[in-house]
Amino acid sequence: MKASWKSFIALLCVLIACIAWSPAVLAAPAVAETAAGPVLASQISPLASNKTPEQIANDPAVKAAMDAAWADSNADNATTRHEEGGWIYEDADGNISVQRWPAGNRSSIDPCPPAPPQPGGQVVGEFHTHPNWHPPDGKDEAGKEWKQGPSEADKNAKTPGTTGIVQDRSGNVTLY
Amino acid sequence: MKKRKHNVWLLVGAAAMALMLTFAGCGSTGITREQAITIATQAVADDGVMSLDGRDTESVEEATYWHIYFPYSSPLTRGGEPHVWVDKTSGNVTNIYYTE
Ligand SMILES: [Zn+2]
Repeated sequence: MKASWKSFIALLCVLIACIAWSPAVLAAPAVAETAAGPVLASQISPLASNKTPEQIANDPAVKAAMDAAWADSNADNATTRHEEGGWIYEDADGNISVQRWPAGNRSSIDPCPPAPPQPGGQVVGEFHTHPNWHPPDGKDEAGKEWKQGPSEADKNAKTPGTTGIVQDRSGNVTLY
Repeated sequence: MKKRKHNVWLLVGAAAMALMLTFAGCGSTGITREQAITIATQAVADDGVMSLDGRDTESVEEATYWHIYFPYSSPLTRGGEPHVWVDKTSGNVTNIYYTE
C-alpha cells in the first residue's frame, strides 16, 4: 500500500514536470525574438498643428504633390514602378507646403533629412506611394502577394503626432 | 518483500521514462528557428522580389508554423518587408507576402 502511494506521487511529479517542460502543452503565446519600434523623434521637431489629419491630407498643396508623386511612381509599369513621397510642412500662419523625397525603390523609400525650420515651417506629416498592391487581392502581375499599407515599418518610422499618408493603386488614400 | 518493492520502483521509473518521451515528442517543433530562417531566406531569394541586404531577421513562433520576416535595419526606411510562413512540422513554405 505504501509503495502504491509512492508510485502514485512519483508519477504525479513526473507528469507535472513534463507538462511544465513541454512548450506545446503550455501553448506559449507568440513572442517576437526582437522588438522593433524606432521613431525619428530626434530628427524631426513636429509642429503642434491645429489641423486634423484629414485637413492636412486634403490641403491643395498636399493633394497636388501626391498626384505628382503618384504619376512619378510609374505604378502601371511592372519594371519601373517605385515609391515616391515627401515631407509635409506647416508654417506659423497655418500654410502647408511639401518637400519631396528622393525617389525610392520598388517597395520602400528613405526620406531625405527634413529641412530645418524655415519659412516653410516644420514637419507636420509625410506621404508616400504604394505602387505594388493590386486590387482586389493584392497580387501583382507575377502573382506575388502584397499587403495593403501602411506597413508596420511605415508606422514605426513616422514621428508620433504627425500625419502619415499612403496612396495605393486602388486610389485609396490611407491616413495613419 | 524487498524484491517486490524494488520491482515497483522499476515500474515507476519505466513509466516516468515513457511519459518524458511522450511529452518531449509533443514539445519538439521539428523545424528549429534557425532552420526556419534558412528556409525563409532561400524562399525570398528564389522569389526575387526583394533583396535582403541591409535587413534584420525577426522570427515569431506560432502554434504550427514559424513566421519569419526581414525588416530594414534602418529606422528611416519606410516599408518593404518579406514575410514568410514555414510549417513547423514539414518545413514547407506555406505563404509569402510582401509589404511596401
Ligand atoms: Zn509604405
